[in-house]
Amino acid sequence: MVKEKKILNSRQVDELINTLAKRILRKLTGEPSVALIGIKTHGAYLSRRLGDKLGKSLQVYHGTLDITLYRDDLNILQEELTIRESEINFDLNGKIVVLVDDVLFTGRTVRAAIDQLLDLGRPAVIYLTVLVDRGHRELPICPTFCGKKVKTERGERVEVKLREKDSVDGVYTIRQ
Amino acid sequence: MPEVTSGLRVSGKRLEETINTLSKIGMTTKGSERTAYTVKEIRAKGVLTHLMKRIGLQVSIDGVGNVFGKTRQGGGAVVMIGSHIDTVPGGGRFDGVVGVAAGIEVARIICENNIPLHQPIEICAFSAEESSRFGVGTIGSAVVAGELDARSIDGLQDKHGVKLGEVLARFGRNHDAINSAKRKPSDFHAYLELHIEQGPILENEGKKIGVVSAISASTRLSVKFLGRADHSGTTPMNLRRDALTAASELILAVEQICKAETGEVVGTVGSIKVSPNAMNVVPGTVELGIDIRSVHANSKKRVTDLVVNEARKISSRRDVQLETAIIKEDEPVILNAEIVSLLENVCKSTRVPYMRMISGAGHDAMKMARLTKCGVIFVPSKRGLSHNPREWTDMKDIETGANCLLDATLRLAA
Repeated sequence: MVKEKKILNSRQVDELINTLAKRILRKLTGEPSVALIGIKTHGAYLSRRLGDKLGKSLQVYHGTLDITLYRDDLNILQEELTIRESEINFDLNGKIVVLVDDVLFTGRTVRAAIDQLLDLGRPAVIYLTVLVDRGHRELPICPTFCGKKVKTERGERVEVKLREKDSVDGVYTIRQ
Repeated sequence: MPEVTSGLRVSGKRLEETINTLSKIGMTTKGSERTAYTVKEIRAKGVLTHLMKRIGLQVSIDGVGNVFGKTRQGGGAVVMIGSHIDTVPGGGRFDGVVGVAAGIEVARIICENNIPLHQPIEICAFSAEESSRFGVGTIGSAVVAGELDARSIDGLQDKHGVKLGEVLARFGRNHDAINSAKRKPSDFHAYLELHIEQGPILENEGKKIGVVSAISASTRLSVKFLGRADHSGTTPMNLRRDALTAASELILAVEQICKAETGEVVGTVGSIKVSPNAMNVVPGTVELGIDIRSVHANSKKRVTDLVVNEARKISSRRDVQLETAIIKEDEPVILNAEIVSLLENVCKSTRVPYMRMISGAGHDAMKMARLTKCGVIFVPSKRGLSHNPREWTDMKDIETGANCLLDATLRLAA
């Protein structure tokens, strides 16, 4: 029996994104630009939305990361080892990077993303923004900006839906 | 620094950064590990697409994973600057990477300075230049040149039995995609490649640039002596049919035959398999892997014939059976005289000490020579070391080579 519970509705998601944008802006006071880099897939949509809000106050570079080849559980015999064309069309060296993902869980995805970023260049600093932090970290990773902390069971799933992909905004916990 | 004829110069600092960015991927304490089509090599190609897009090149990846970045201006046939970023296991940080990084720097200089181009410039990192995984090298350029097709690729496999066709299928590349990677001679105006020499000649001669006039090719020969495995204690010396002593005679003969040949041939017995390979057994079977190289096809053929003849004599004298097989036989490539002279003129006008030389190692240029006029520029390798973690070329020498590449590119494309 699958139990799905909505923990954030569309309005709340929007509010969280607004709050995150404000906090990022406060942190970056005096900085001329920021590189927002979303981890595919939902982090990329989230990053775009944050960019729309931040773009009024500072220059925003947009990029996305596909971290497949940097995962620590990559099964080289089964994965499609496609060359993932970079979607970061600017120089990362010296940039202030805000890495964006929807859910922070074990921290392994973020570790992979940071490794990939460091292969691509040498940013001045990397901050981490997540919409939801559901706990259960397996690596010493902490978000710089977190929309909402949610208490979850280890076996639960947390799903963020965004209208760009799922035609609706919302955050759900799913228990099987 | 000597000035380049165009007045433009590459940035040594940026070039060094690009080399570092690419070569640090897969770097271990035992050298570079970017074997063709492994995760590290594919990551490096992902980084390469980033570097190319960053300077405004149009990026594309073909059916064998060759990565291309093309300038947006200029139409028609391209001046291609190519090399590779895969490595042998435990490789160095310059082999291949120097050529791709220099290509990116040349494209960047041209884009930054809005140099008008008659011909577009296309930078390329060819896949699987090194033969260490699939036993065959320059796979990416061979497919582009139409020398290898999807069917012949299906027959290649690595030592773990993984077929190249399967590897490419995991890339989502089917036969059609592989075959469509083949390109036409009319696509190209010229091909240039900057590479480390991987040998000691430039350093010994005190030259900064080698203008390559020909690339030697190898004949790879397998020679098997089949004697008889016997007890090492009970078999008297005169009753033995020792395959290893027979092979030893041939190893020395290869050296003598090559030295005696006037047409500059090098021969190497680089692998030896002894069976049963036990201290108390007279060797029953020995298989030698022999590599014979030259830029002169006739000399190479003559040496190969002499080696096989010598093996026959040894086999009959020592009463061991003989099996020989030619595993691979490539034709040497004479590079285009017009480009050789263009490169020499670039060196003369910039007063860079250079020499004309041949390449003992294979490069992607030898495949591209089937499609277009090709030129290869060498820069010195410290102590001639390559395919080794201690491989080294001074940055100022790489910069000199990249400036030569820039000037040659401008003469061909602008």
